[in-house]
Amino acid sequence: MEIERLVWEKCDSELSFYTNINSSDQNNLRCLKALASIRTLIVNSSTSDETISLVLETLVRILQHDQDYIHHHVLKLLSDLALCGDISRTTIFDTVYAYALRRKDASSLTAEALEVIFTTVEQCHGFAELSTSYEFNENLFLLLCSSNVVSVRSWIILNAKWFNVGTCCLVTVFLGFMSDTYPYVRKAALDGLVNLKELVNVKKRELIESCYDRAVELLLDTNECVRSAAVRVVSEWGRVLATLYNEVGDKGWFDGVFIQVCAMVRDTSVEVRTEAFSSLGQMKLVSEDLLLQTLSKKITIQIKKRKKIDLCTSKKFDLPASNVAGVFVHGLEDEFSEVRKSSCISLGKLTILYVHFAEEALNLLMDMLNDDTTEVRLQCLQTMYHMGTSDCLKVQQLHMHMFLSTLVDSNTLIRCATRKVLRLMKPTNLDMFNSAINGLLTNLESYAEIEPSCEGELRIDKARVAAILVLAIAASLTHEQHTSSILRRILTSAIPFLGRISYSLRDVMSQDTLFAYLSYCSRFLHSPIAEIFGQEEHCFSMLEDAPNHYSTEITKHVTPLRQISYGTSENHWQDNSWDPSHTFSLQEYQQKLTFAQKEATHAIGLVLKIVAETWPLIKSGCMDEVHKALRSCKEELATVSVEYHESAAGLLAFAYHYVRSIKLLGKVWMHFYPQRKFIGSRTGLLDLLVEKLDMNLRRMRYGFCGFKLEEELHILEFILLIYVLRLSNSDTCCRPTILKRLRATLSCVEHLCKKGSIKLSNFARELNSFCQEESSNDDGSYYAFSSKRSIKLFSLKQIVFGEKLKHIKAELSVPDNDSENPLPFIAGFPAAISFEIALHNVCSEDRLWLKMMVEEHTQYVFLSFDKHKDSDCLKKFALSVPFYTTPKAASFSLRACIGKECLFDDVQMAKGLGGPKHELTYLCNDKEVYFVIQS
Amino acid sequence: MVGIECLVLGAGQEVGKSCVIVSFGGKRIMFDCGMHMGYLDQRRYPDFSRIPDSSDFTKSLTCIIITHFHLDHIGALPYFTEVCGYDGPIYMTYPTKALAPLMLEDYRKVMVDRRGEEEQFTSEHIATCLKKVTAVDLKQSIKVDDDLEIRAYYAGHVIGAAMFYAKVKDSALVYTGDYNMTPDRHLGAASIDKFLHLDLVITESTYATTVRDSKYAREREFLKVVHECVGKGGKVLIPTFALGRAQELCILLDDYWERMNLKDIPIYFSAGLTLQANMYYKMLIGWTSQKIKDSYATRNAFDFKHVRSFERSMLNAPGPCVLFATPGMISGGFSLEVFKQWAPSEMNLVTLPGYCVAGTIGHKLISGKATKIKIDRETEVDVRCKIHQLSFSPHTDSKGIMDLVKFLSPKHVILVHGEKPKMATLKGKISSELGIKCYDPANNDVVHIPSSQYVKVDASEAFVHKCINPNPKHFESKADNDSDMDPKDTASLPMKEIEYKRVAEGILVMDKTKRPKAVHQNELLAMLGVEEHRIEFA
Ligand SMILES: [Zn+2]
Repeated sequence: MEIERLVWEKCDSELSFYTNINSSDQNNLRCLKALASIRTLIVNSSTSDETISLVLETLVRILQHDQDYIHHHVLKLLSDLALCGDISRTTIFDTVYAYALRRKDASSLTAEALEVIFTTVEQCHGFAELSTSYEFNENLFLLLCSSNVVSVRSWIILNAKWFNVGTCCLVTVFLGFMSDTYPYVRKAALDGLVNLKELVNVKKRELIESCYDRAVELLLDTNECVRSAAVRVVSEWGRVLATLYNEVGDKGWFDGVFIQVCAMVRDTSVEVRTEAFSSLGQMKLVSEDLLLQTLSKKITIQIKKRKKIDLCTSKKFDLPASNVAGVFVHGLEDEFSEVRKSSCISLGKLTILYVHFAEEALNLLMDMLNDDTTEVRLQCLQTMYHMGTSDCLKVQQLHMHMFLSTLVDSNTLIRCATRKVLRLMKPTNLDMFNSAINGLLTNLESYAEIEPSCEGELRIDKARVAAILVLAIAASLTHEQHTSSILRRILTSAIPFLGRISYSLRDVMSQDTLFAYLSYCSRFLHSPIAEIFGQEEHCFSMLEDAPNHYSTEITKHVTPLRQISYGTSENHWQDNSWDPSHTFSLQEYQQKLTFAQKEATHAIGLVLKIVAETWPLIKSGCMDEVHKALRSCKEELATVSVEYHESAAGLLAFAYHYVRSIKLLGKVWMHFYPQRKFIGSRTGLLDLLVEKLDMNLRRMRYGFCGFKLEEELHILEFILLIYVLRLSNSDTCCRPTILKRLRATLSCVEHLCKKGSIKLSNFARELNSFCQEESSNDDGSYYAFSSKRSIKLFSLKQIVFGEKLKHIKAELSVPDNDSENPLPFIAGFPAAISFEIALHNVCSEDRLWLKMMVEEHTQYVFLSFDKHKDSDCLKKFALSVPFYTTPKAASFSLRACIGKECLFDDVQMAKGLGGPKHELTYLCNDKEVYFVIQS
Repeated sequence: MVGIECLVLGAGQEVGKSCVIVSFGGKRIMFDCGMHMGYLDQRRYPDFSRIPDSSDFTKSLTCIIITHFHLDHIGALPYFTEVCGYDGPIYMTYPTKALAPLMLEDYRKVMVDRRGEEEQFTSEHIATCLKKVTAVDLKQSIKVDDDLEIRAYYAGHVIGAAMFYAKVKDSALVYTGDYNMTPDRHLGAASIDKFLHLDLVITESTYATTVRDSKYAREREFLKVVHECVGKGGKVLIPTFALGRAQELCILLDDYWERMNLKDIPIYFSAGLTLQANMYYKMLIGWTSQKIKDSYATRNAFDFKHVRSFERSMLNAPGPCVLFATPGMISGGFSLEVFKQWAPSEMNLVTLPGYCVAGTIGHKLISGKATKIKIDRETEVDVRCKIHQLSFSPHTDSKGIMDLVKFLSPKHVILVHGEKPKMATLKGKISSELGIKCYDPANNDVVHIPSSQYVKVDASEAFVHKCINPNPKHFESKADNDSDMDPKDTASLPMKEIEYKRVAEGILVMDKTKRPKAVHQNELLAMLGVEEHRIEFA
């Protein structure tokens, strides 16, 4: 408080002294210093309201004076003040508004004054707040438009929406600015035109036409940013014009605009080319012959004969139809993946126009499956998928080699996308069907993935249907006593997925039933099921020890399945020689149990692999793909059953955390490397995300035990990445803490590497050298940290997490307590609570704490437990603790949870509370305990 | 001398010994100094005696510019500098300078050591010649002297290939050398600035009439035959030149191997020039395609994951494999040795480049279904293996040439480096479709082209100021209201109709210094030294 007052008084006296006399350079400097101190007062959230209102008064006063030279800074401070919140914005708005009007000029100060109002209203989402007393009329608008200052001109274009100006006037002004001498003004004007949503209101066709004409001229601008903005205007406004002309019977316009945009796809700028291709995808009603010509560089006679299109605007543009020749060939061959991706998307969109065109386009798209970037290949498959959903995917035999080869692609996402497309594919003949099946089976054999069957004809969308189909196929083949190799392959593929398939069939039959059925089928192969399980040493007879209680169930459930498979009556079924008494042996059943665990582990391993593979996608900003992949990963995890398997359960819990971490990482990444140019300041949100991610990672690190060395390193490097991201964030106040943690984690990494004699990764080495430089630089000037460089070095390696993972978790309960049955207490006196605690996989070194919170009061209780009591993995005990600071209220609720100290984080908590020395990782969810005052 | 004079010393209506002498604005430049591989007599070199003042080339030529390291563009350079005595500046890009000695030395060895020919230039000649070279970067403007400015642009084709822009005063031209408008697996597409205001473009026209299909089809075919062959346990022989195609195919295969999990099948590089070349490629990463540059931080694309070097003992080892060997047309050397061993088995595959010189084994394999091939008097090889001809090419197709000419929009075009009848067709197309004058001179022809001259006008500060700032006239309000407006719109706010006018008014004056100058109207009186008189009416 005292310091705040001192700072303020010093500023105030300096300002009042120097703003009253004439300016000189030295005064100027002192004024700026004083204003800088004021800024610290404004941004400091603990500054008292009185000081803030004094600050406001002074700032308002300075604006009244003529000293222009500091007005710029004062306006900035007012803007900060307005954004801070607690202050009356009306005063600020009134002041700056009056200031702007008083200036009566088009200088940047006028614009800055208005900017204070606009940004505040925009950031605080309070459009309503802006009272009608502020009028931003047309005269003001036009005044600013004629400004000599370039930045004011581009500013006014961007902020035109705040002014009360008619669309026609706006368009005219933009049209004027399209001829501005400065490229950024031209670009802003073009962008402004695209963003005009009320284009329909501009009934004056000549006006639209002159904008269109001017935009066409700007397609030849020397600046690439202008050209790419012009492409957008030509395409958007061209379409509007084309629609208008189409209404009066002039159809040539759609083709004309298409040809016009096609002329831009060979531009030297990547940005322009990308824009041109994405614009082509928006086109409608283009003639088929033109579209077909885009797929071949050789000009057809039809196109040669075609008349030149004259668009009847004021100007004539040269629009030879030959412009479109091979446009998509060029786009798909482009050196830059963003251009290829964009043309892939657009080509897909255009295919819905004509059947023949779709067929031809597919020829080109198929070849894109051989592109050298995963991103493009993935997009290509996605495009095919969309073509499939709009029913224009006609795959032919000659495509099959290329297409099916993606089924064995080493990238999981690609394989997955291919299978999705395959489901929509309609094989036209038996050959294609066979090659599809063969491709799928190879896919299964090499990668052992789910969905054993996706025959296109049947349009299978769900694992459930797929599962039924497996059984159906197996059934029909066994019926014929047909021990073909196909059956064998299918069964071999199906049994490893027993858990998965039974999950999708869970409402029809149990896993045991299914298993019995499959092993029954396998008998027709003359090879015992054990062989399929890979345990040939067990030789057992089929009929021994058959646990017959399964038999009835099997008959009950398999019957309808067989009916599905035949689609006919029951007679057929009864003809069959299937004998329910031929069930499996106990040995087999036991094998099944161990097998199910293997399956679960394997399935989780696959998911973890896919998750790790999303890292390059995150890096290149393909968030859609990442979200999709992660979503399906989560769905996958939900189907894994781990009921009887402790170790698989640990792995599963870990996998959930891992997926969540990557998802958060993706979100955080978008903040640091946004794809779009304008992302508002959402630092608050970012902090929250990073915090969540940090917590999640800490949970992964401390909430599990039994890591292998590589596994632990993997997580540690992930944690390091987060610190690097945090460091590169401009906010430096928490820098020392982050650095401290970074160092601590880094030394853990080094220690582990030494222990396992593993080479330190490039990423860790880079960070190491950074840390050394940093510590040699103690004068507070930070060594320019190239986060980009070190992030480039980071890679999320795929490692197989072992089965030894144990989930450290706790269960906390208070018997007989809920909101209906609260515990009694006396306000101000300690209240006793009896907890029942179960700890899983906790080891003796772990320091556990019980944390209890009532509003801002927190109380920690150290948990000590007998080391050798109970079994190692589960400890259960009851604990009665007093809670000291009961509030003065009629009732309250207390949140309790159990946390484990993060011993390796070198960050100590505040001392003197008697609590944990390190931060905690929580092992259970908060448990709410209810109290009511004793009457 | 007004205008541009082009003397075509080589590659006029033919492919080989590229060399064009361009004189303009008092400067004389030699573009490329190549040798013709098809001749062994004096026709292999350009006829340097036709250069004006040929007694002293150093005085006659302002500089030499070499576009890339292919011998038909650089082969005669050591001869010209060391034997003919040219001692002036020579420009080429860094990679060309680095790789040229490799090519030249290799050629010299083949000619002298193997064929026992008379030596045209020695190893020392090559070394001293290359020492005189100034290496340039892309888009770097170089002042050769006070008037002549040159600049290199990326041309694709082979690593380090460049197009060159040259400008003297108001005249400017571009000499393309060989170029490719489509990127491949290791090089980008040619790229040049748009607003160069050119009087002339001299372009190659190797594929003057061919329009090529998508490159993906070529890649697909190649991968399919190779995969099928190794899938059935066969061996694939890929004879290539050491630089360029070898790297592209290798990247293609390495990437495919990775994706298709073909780790068990080895890809070999025969030792020699190729490995050395790969090393150069690794260093010259900045001149490769975007993808390779992008991924460089994580992995150098020329560090092939699946490629190993080949030992002679592996020649008859069992199992499938892929082998890259030089030379490309199986004209001798290691690729011939391997061919002899592998050709008799129908399981194996031999790929061949798109173009093979007559007389080579490659040519025989392409031209007919030869089942027996005589290697020399004693040896005859049974050819039962499959043959696949590659259709990859580092040259642009006719559409690419048209696209580039259209993009640069010069006033004139000269075609070189092509076949006569096809060039004539392209010439017709350029003049009819683009309306640009086009020539296809034969060797030793001279083409005269008028060049543009601009009159420079000074501008006063006031005039410039007026031009760059919007003046009140830009937004002139019109009083009347148009009824075309949306009725709702007009009701809510009284609309002013705005009219846009863009005006840059000034007065062009020429004073005693004879320099024209544009001034603002207010400045005129002061300039003329006249007082303003006003007549006012009461
Ligand atoms: Zn060449």
